[in-house]
Amino acid sequence: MPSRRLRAVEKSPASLLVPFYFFLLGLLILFSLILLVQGVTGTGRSDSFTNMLFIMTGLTGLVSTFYMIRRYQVGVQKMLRERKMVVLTVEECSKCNYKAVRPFREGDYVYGYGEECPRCPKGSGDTAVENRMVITAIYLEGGRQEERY
Amino acid sequence: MQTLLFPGQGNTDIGYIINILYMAMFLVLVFWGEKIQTMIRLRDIEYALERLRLMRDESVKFTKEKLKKYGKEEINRFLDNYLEFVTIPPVDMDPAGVVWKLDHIVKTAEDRVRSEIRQIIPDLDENQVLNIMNLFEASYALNYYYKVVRHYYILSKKTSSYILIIQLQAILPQVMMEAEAYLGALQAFSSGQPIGDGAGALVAARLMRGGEIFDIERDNVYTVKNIQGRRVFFMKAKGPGGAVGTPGDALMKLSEKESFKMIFMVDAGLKLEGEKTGSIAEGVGAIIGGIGTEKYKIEEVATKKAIPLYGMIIKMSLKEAITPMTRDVLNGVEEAHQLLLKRIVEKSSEGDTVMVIGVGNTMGIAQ
Ligand SMILES: [Zn+2]
Repeated sequence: MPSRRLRAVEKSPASLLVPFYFFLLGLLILFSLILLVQGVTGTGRSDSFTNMLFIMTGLTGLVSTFYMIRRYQVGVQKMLRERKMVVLTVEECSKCNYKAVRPFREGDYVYGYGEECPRCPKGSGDTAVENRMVITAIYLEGGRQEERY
Repeated sequence: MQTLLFPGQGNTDIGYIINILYMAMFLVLVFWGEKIQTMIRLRDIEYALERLRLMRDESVKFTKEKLKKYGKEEINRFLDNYLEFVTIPPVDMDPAGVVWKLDHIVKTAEDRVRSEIRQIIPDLDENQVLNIMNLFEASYALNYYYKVVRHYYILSKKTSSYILIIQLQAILPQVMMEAEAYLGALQAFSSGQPIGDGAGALVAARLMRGGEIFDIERDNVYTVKNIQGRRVFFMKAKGPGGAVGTPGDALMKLSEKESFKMIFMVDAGLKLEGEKTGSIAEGVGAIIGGIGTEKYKIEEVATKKAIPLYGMIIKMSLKEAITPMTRDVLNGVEEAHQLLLKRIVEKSSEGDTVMVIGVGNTMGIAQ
């Protein structure tokens, strides 16, 4: 999924920003790795403080780059996730007051006809509409959107 | 071996390097501090701008994908044109009669889009055309946000005006919130789900149940019912397509024959941050949004005939107004429904004729 978004970014000539950002991150990882290797292999050196500093810097660099990549991924996913909303349809039978809730299907509308009532006996054949329940409400499950901000 | 609290404390080579780095950083911040801040702010704006562009593209792509099933290439071209469509408001130096001119222009614009969509895809019914128009409008809004932010971004970059940049950055979160609301509206618009803005229409629809439905003027329906001896007219936009109707025109027409004792209006209204979604505010006046032409007509009728205008607002955020109706809004609808019945009986007496208008986009709500 994120690749779809990235493609859209690359298409625009104005935004070389994202590839450049990843290029910088790559450099940072490389640099951190070099520092880390130097720090670890240079244990024979007398100055152990320098080794420590190398290792610390390398680790910090690695951790922060991975953190930045992760944050980018989360940002991309958040935008895509926002669209996944579950809408429910409430149907009621006018005869026996049976009430059913099911996911919304295209073509549903409030005070339109829903499915046949499962509790009432089947109608006399061709008058199928008579047996169908009426949609009385359509709403978003969960309801509270405010917390997303 | 010495223990060091801070790097650069000891007289080692590394210590010197770090000291020099600190000095350099200090000088850089003193001389180019503002420049760096500007750059950071501009980058923030650039990021937001990029997101706006993605949202617009996403919306256009989504709309085109939805329209693919009709197999008409032409509609894509029409959508691209529509994004740059302009409606020129009438001159208002001499304001007398300007509302009618604006009304005319807006209706012409709407007619044009409607007829063009119907021409390109002839096998659409009226409801589908209206829903597609709503989808187009979401793309239009997103494109508009993008273009305006881009304008100020480029302007502030060109002039490198610090104040302009700060102003732009200050309003950006709100702009992004609204743009995101429009992006969230796509799902509802494309599949014809009731949106929060339909709360007023839903209240009217509930009260209209069982009555005989008549069409009146463009996109309105009404019915007459007897509530405890009062003749009550209920009116809303004609569903389940995404219409807002022309309640002003319909009221003008109806009041030629009927003499209303009072008018009740129910509409969804934007809440202030911190207010509860679905809460009801009662008031006086023509409670209706939009560009103001319908409001003007309703006020005209009410003023000329001295009919009191009572209103009820079901509160929600912009996002809730244009995305699928939430549970909170639905509860507000239920409450408004009961309250309205109570108020009709309280305020009028037996034998009176009362008008009730449920305002709002009636997408996904029949009658
Ligand atoms: Zn039943």
